Amino acid sequence: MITSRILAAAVFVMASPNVFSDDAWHPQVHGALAQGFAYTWGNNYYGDSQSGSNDLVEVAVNARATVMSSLLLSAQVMGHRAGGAADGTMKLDFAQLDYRVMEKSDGAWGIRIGRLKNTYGFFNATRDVVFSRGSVTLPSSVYYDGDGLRNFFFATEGAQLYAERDFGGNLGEFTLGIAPRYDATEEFEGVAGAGGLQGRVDARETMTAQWLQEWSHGRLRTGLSYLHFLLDYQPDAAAEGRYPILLESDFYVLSLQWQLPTWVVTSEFRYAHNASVAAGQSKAVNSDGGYVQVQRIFNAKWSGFLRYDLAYADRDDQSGRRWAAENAQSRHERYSRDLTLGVNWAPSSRWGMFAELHDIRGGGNAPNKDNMGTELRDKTQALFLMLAYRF
Amino acid sequence: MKKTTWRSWLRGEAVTKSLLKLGLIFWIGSASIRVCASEGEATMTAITHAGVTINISDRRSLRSFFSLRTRTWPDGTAVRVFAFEDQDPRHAAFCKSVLGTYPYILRRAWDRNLFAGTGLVPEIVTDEEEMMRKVSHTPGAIGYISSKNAATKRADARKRSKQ
Repeated sequence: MITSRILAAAVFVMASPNVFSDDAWHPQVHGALAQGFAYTWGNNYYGDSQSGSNDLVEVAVNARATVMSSLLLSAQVMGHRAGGAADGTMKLDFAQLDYRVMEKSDGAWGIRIGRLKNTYGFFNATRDVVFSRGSVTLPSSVYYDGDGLRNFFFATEGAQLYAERDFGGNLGEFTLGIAPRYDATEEFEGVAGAGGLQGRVDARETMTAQWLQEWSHGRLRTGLSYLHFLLDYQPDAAAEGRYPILLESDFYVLSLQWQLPTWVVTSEFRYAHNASVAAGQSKAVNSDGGYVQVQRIFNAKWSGFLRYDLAYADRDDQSGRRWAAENAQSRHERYSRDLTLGVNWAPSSRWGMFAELHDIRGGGNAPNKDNMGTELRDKTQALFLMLAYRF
Repeated sequence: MKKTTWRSWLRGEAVTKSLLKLGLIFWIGSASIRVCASEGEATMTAITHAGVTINISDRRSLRSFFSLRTRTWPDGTAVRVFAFEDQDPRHAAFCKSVLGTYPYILRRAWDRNLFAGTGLVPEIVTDEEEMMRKVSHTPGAIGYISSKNAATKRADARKRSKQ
């Protein structure tokens, strides 16, 4: 992390027009600010939303510069406030050194090192700000948007090898990433339930792979993503009733997108296999989820979408009944089904207004920290608004 | 054990039905609005800095430059893209008639570079005078103007060279 911070500091200094004026570096500084509002009936999202919450704030500032024609440096700091899951502290989002080894008119390949965005689904790499994800919320079935795992999925420190080739209108992109062992405790603090984490989480193995393909000059896009983690939880010596846990997770995402002049149909399906060993007992759970989104582009300023998002914590117990019987808890904590109607208004390239109505069944995507001390409800209706500006 | 399916859930919930109806009304109500090019739409032409000597007239190359996939010209100069606002009809006309894509697809490619840090991002200009000034003064620059304007500029240049 220290190396990435030094790299980020170097990028911001190089991109600062007041410090250096060497235009050969092509310094660029951009960013975005967004303020959201949430009002819900049922469970809380983004803070105490049942009373109306404005605990949804995004501030991102990024900079980039080219040291040589084939070497690009870029970094971004971001403050993300999302109820109890994220406190808004400005943190280093990514800081990367991108060396393009070969570039021709029909293809290129290169390597990136530093704190890198994980390639996962269509939207993980651009989920930072509302402009790039296109809606206030991303589907939790694939992106774990509501439950605080955003930071963990978002980026890791390591290296990526990437290649792209244009096969006469059919563009293929392949990315392979690995990360050395790192301390992921901070990423998991946001999802810890009552009592907190009381320990340390080490990401012992992280690997990502993604193949994206555009067909017919981008009319159809397909994607296949793979994400692998081996996590090691060691409780503090003083923590009572906590055991070491070793968790191995494999995520697979199939992505499809059909882009027409006024319609965009997007669908992604996620399958996850989680195998854990805790207190000498091993357990394996398969979970899955997916969504279908139909977006209508009315004109250059207005668009709307309808999305149906389904997520299950256990593929073999989708209703949650077995889990409820075994744990004496409500079964609706084990799934979420979210129907969303959204409207976006972009009066200019700089401004955006985003509004969403959600009808949610199940509490599987309700953030733990926003619903502490209350039993999760089965039904939630929600209104999310967001006003955003970029520069 | 009876499994809850999304079909049974959809059938059983009044709120969901209302949301679906609202969505349907929204969609049908907008059917008369079109983002497609109007018949009177301007014809656009790509322009580059004088130092760019390669032929970039084919759609494949142009799309590669404007979607920011190609970062450098063959001589190693960085590609600097200039464009009008997303909402500008000239931008929509250029995307559709020259690149064979749509403004929202280009914007997603730009946002990916912007918020994932994978490349330089385009500079937005407001009018054709500014576009021509910036493209002519920035090595490696590529942009676009209306074909009518480009023809006038070419004629002016020929006149100046004869004098």
